[in-house]
Amino acid sequence: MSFAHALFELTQEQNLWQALPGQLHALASAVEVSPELPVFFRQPGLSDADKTARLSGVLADVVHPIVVQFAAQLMAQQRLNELPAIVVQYQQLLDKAQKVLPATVKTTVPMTDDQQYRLVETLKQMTGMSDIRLTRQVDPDILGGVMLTLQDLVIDGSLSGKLSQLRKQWC
Amino acid sequence: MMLPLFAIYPLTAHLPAESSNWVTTLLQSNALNVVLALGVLGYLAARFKIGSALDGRQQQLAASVQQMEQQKLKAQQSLQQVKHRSELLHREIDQILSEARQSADALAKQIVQQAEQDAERIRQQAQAGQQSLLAQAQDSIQQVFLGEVLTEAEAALRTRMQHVDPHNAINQFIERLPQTAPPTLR
Repeated sequence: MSFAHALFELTQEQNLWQALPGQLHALASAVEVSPELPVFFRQPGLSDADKTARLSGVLADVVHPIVVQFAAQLMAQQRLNELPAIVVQYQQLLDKAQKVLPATVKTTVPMTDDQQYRLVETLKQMTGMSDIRLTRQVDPDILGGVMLTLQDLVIDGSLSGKLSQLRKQWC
Repeated sequence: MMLPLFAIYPLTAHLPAESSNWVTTLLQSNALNVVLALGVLGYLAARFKIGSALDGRQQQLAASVQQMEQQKLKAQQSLQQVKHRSELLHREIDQILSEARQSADALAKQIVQQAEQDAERIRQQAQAGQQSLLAQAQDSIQQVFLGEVLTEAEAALRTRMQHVDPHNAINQFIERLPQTAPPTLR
């Protein structure tokens, strides 16, 4: 069983749907932006007990004990740098179980709450999912319109996309 | 021994009377008879010997003549054969020359045909290359032109979008989303 599956089962058993994913994402982001963190915890001068104590000391007040325990386990196996990939896999399992579809929307200006709500509702109706986990991005290079990505499906309603299409057709 | 005397006796008839008598006298002498007989005998022997020799020689000559005639015949036959072979050779040479001429003509014709075909092929290739180059040039010009048009359009759009409310486009996008998603998403 993979780390992601183990975490997913713990989430289900202890009903930690709300807390755990966010904390895991935060920790994964910290590892991603600080590559020196796993290196620090691989220092030969520190014993495993010292490392676990230090990690627990840092995380104990901010994350669930399961997350601390999980991070300590990865550190002991010197696989802390794999945490971001494990969290992505964990999130996929969560999404599948909760019938949540991840979506990324790109616009030239931030969407209003109303637009976001209408988009989520439309996508829920369109896909039959319980919820849409929407990631919003602002990108002026698309010139105008919206670029929506649903897993492998890209719905390109941007002006830059239409120009690219014209360029492909003509040139 | 008397035969020669009798043989020459008639000769005396043509001699003058005095001589005839003298010869007769002589003939009546035995010594003379002996001498004469010996002479006649010698004469006859010599003549016989010469005759024999002449006969032999004549036979030899006849044989030689016959041999020469045979050789002449053979030579004529050889000459005929040589003439015949010469004619055959001439005919053969003529045939070879004729065939060689025909072969040379055919080869020359083939070479000319091949050269014409090559020239035609090269001409077509050149024409095709020219057309291809022309088409490429047209495409390049068109691409450059359209690329410029699109770049200008993009710049114009950027400027225009500054004066347009971007939320309108977002609203339109949400309103125009399809009602159903592909089966892979459901």
